[in-house]
Parts: sequence; structure tokens; C-alpha cells
Amino acid sequence: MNALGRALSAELLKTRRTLALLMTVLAPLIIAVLQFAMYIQGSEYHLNQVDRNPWLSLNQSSLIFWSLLMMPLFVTLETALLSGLEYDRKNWALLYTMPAPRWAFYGAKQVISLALIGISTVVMLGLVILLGLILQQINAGYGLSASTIPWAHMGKSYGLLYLASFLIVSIHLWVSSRWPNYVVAFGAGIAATVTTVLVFESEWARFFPWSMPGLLVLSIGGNTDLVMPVPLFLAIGIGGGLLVALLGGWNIARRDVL
Amino acid sequence: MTSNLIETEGLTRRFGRLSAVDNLDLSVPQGSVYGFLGPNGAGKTTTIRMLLGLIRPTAGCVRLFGSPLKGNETTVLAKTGSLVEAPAIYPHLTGRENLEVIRRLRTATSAQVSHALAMVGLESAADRRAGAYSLGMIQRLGLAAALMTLPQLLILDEPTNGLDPAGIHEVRELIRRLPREYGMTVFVSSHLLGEVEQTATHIGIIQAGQLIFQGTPDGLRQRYQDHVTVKVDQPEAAQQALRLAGWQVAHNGNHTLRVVANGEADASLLASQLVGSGYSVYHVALEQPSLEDIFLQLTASPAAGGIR
Repeated sequence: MNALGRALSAELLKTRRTLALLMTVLAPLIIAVLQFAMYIQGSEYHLNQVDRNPWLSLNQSSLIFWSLLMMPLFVTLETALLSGLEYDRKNWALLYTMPAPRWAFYGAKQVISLALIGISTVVMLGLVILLGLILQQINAGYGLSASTIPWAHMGKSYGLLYLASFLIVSIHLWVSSRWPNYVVAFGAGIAATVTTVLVFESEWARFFPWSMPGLLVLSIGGNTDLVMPVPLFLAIGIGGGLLVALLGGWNIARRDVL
Repeated sequence: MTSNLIETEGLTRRFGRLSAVDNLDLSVPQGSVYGFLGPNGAGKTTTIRMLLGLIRPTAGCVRLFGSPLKGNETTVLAKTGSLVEAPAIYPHLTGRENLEVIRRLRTATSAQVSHALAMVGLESAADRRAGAYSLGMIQRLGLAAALMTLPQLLILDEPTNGLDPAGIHEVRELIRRLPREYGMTVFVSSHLLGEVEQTATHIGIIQAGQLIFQGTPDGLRQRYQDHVTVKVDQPEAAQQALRLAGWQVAHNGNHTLRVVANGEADASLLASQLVGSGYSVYHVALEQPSLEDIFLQLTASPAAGGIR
């Protein structure tokens, strides 16, 4: 574990001044701006809702955009940028001549990837709350007053979404580490996102790792037609993520550095 | 006390049908500067990658510090610094931050970072982003990373690449100092004999994946004897006479004979014998090949196969 700690410390320093760090704020901000535009544009629909807490609607639509569209691409970008730190100048050779087991370097990348996705999830949650408060200032008819924020529900939904994303983080980290080429990494991410949109309403969506966070959001929102129980989502997300991380680490550590 | 810090036995690496390294038996004595020479594509970098455990041998084994590398990587690499091909840097970090990455991985001290920067003359540029460094500065940064913990064994792959003549001289001086001042053993590869001739205490020459010479520079010189070139009026008869007198002679066409000799005394004796036998000698020249000449001859042809 000492080796993992040292590798983590080095990995943390390497993220300084990188696009990967900046994107943890930019990606959620894009969704927040999009939501803001939609609420202003569709104010007739959103104003004066009485049948449901307006915060729940805002939260649910933000979660859908985040989980279905942004998160798969964002995970692709973050893992590709983290792996790119090493293969841009063939730095794997440098790391592997350090006195630490190879798995520690991959393990550190896995932890940092999860941390960056975690930061962006927290930022997304914060921006949704900020967005609601701004909309409330613009027009009190939105019903988004600070006193009605469902803190527990919102915190839980983002927390569960984050846990369900472990599997795709592990898959993309392995892809971007295995093939030292941004085209492969981004190609895989774009293909996965497009496929998610295509299969999302089909029976098969529940078996597709990239659509699972989105289905979990529906599950949290009470839609149970297409979805599985939340614990099963989490078991597949966390368990699958851990398994792919272990297999990925084993595969990368065994490879020759040419 | 280990007599050889690096030992390989039958070290082989094949890529498909190509043997990049073929049955290599290296012995690098402790405290030596070992010049590992060979033309481009001879297998130097592949060998170095196997010494550092970056690629696995197809056959054979590597022993560092007397222990097999396989299974002891962490222990062995803690005592080894290296620079393989182009130095690995993080261009968005400063020079000092790049070394800080290494410091954290090696659990070195901040003082060692500063010392390494001073050793390679990069203190003034340490807080500039490495992405803005020249090729020579990047090479120095790579050297600083390799030297930071003053390892017992330093493995350098063409360390003067990209350096200007002054930089090459500085690196050469640094390599020369390391065994004396820090007790390091230095294994340095190059495709230029002239580059390591002044620093190496031992030389290994690799050609087409095979080790064709290993020993001291003097040993290499001794295995390549001097020659005397003689021009005479009757070359065939003179050749016959010299052979009868015990000389090894080759007739190089026209009036030129090439005779294996051992220094100036032999050249003088040869000339006297020819003149004494009645031949007209109008040119005598002693040829003592430099190490560079020997290296070029050895590595000129892929079919060279070793010292003949």
C-alpha cells in the first residue's frame, strides 16, 4: 500500500495545470448552462408547478443529461487525458523503472480517475442547487426556494449515480491505457455514448454498462419499467468496476514497454 | 561484494522471426564505466529495456547486483537510475516538478532534487515549464532524474543525444566522475565509439543482436594488430621472400603489400630485410588503427560476425 500511496502522490502532482482538472468544473457547467437555457426558454412549463416539488424536476432532468450524455464522454475524456500523460512521451518506461510494483501506477490512475469523476459529480450537484437559486431569483414562480431543497434526495441520487459509474470508468481507463492513441479512446467513448442513446429504451439497456447510470436515474425517479433494483445496479457498477480494474491492471502491468 | 553488477546469460529477445538480441552474455564489473556500443538497430535499446525489466526476454536471464532481476525488480530498481532513449518528461510541469514526481516515487529528499539539478546545470531553468525546454535541457532533466538518488548503478541509453558539443563534453566529464566520486557503475550505450572511448573502462560491442567484443579498450586494440603497407618493385617475389621469413603478408594489387606487424620496430626490420634482399622499397607506412577504425570495421557489415 505504501507503493500505491507514493504512486498516488506522484499522480496527483501530474494533474497540476492539466485539462483533466479543469474539465471537472467545465463539464458540469455545460449541463448547468444547458438547463438554465431550457428553464428560461420553457418557463411556461416550469413555472407554477404544484403537483411536485420543482427541485425534484430540476434534479431529475439534470441527472438525465449528466448520466446519459455528458458522463460517458466526460469519463472518456478524463481517462484518455490521464493515460495520455504517460504515452504522449512514452513515460510508462519511466514509471516502470521506479522501485514500485507496476500495478501501483495503474491503481493510482484508477483512484485519480474516480476522484476526478467524484469531484465533477459534487460540482454538478452544487451547480444544480445554484441554478435553482438563480432561477428563483429571476422568477419566484419556479418554486425553487432554498427552504424546499430536498438535500437528502439530491445527495443520494448523485451519490448512487457516482457509484454506478465505476464500471465505465474502469473500462475507459483500461482502453485508454491499453491503446496509446486518443483516437481509439475517444472512438470507444463516442461509440458507447451513441449506442447508449440507441439502446436506452430497449430490453438490452440494462446489460449495457454505459446506460446503467441513466437507468439508475430513472429508477431513483420511480420509473421501474425498464430498470433493475438499485442494489443490483450498484452491485454491477461497483463489483464490475472493481473486476475490470483488477483485470485491466493485470493486463497493463504484464505488457512490454517497447 | 559483487564483482559484476550486471550479468546476462544467453539473453535473447525475438520479435517474430527477427532476433533483436541474440544469446547475449554481458559482464559489467562494479565501479566500471561500461560503453555498450553498436550501430543503430544493433539491439542496444532492446538490451537496456531487458536490463531494466521493461520487456521480457524470450530466453536467458538478467542478474543485477548478483540477484536475478525477475522477482527482485523493486529491490534492484531502487539501486538503479536510468535514462532510456528520449527522456520521459511531463511538459506541463516545471523541471523541478518533474523531479518532484520522481522524488515522490523514490522517496528521496528535496535536497536531492536540488543537488540533481545542480549536477546537470539546470538550477536557473528549474522553475520553467519543461515543455519550453530545448532538446539539450530535456536531456539534462532526464539525467537529473536518473542521478537524483545517486544510485549504485546508472544505465544510460545514448545520453548525449541532442546535446551541443559543450553539453557532450560536460556529460562525458560527469560520467567520468561518477565512479570516482560516488562509487557508481555506469552502463552507457552509444553508436559512436569516440563518444565513450575517453570515459569507458570496459567496452561491449553489439552487432545484429550479438556481442562481438567484450573487454577493455586495450584488449580491443591488442586484438587488432598493426599493419605495415609496403610498396616494392617486385611484389610477388617480395611477398614470397617475406613469407619464407615468417611474416603474414597480403598482396593488395599493384605494387603494394600489407604485412601484419607489431609496432615501429617491426616496420623498421621489415624494410631492412627487403632492402637487404635487393628489392627496391619506395614506400613504408605503419598503420595503427584507432578504436574508431576498429569499431567501424567490426560493425561495417551485418555479416561481420566478430573479430577475424
